[in-house]
Amino acid sequence: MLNCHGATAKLSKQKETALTKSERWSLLLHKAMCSKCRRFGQQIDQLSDLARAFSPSEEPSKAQPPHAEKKQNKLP
Amino acid sequence: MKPSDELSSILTTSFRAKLVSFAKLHLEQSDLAEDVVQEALLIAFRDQDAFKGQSGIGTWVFGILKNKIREAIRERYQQGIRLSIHAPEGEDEQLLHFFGRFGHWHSDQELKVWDSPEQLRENEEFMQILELCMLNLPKAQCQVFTLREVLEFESQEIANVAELSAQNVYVLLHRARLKLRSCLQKNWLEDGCESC
Repeated sequence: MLNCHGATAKLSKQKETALTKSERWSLLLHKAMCSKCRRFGQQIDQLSDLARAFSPSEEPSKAQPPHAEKKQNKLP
Repeated sequence: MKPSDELSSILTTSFRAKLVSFAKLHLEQSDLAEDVVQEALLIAFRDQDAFKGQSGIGTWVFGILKNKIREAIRERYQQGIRLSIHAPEGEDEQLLHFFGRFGHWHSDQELKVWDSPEQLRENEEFMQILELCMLNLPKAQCQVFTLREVLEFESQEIANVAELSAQNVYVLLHRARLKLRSCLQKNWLEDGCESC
């Protein structure tokens, strides 16, 4: 029987390649019983959407003092 | 602000350094990473009239850089140079935080409902947390995840350019996805809701 660790591995693998028939069945059975793994499956699809839209923040990192940027502009 | 001023202004911030460190993730030698960023910025200055302002200028520049990194990886592959990504060895002990002895989710692992990606994408704070969580993954997991999901390589191509087995790529992606969703939930939903 597939446990959650194994089921999440199959859910992730399913985004990469076709699963075998027996992998698909055991995953279907597991998902029918396990709401957390169903949600994991949705979230990794959401992660793909979000990562595609990712771009580094233009904000200087929060640790920087707020006026650091202005000082930099005064440099030649 | 004119696009050229906007472009100049992001170069004076830490943004440029972030571009270089993202390029370095995939193109190890620092001069090559610098070159690729330089090239992307030159294209951005040259083509700034093409920038329509529908996304931020940083997003636009990053899109150009993504193309340049993809090209560099493929060119180097043609020249016989592989990406250096460590294959996973043994179990990942960090996963013990998620699953118990029998491989089922720990009872404290709640998987909460997320807002839609459309809403989250517009949320600057969330996207900053995504950046931190993603770039703080263990290196090999971060490399493979960003190759797959940010640079949009197929996993078979990742296996080829990094000389990993497809199985290794699946394992690294699985671990990265588990940690990333957990990091986002912890830092966004759980912290976020203390103040709501």
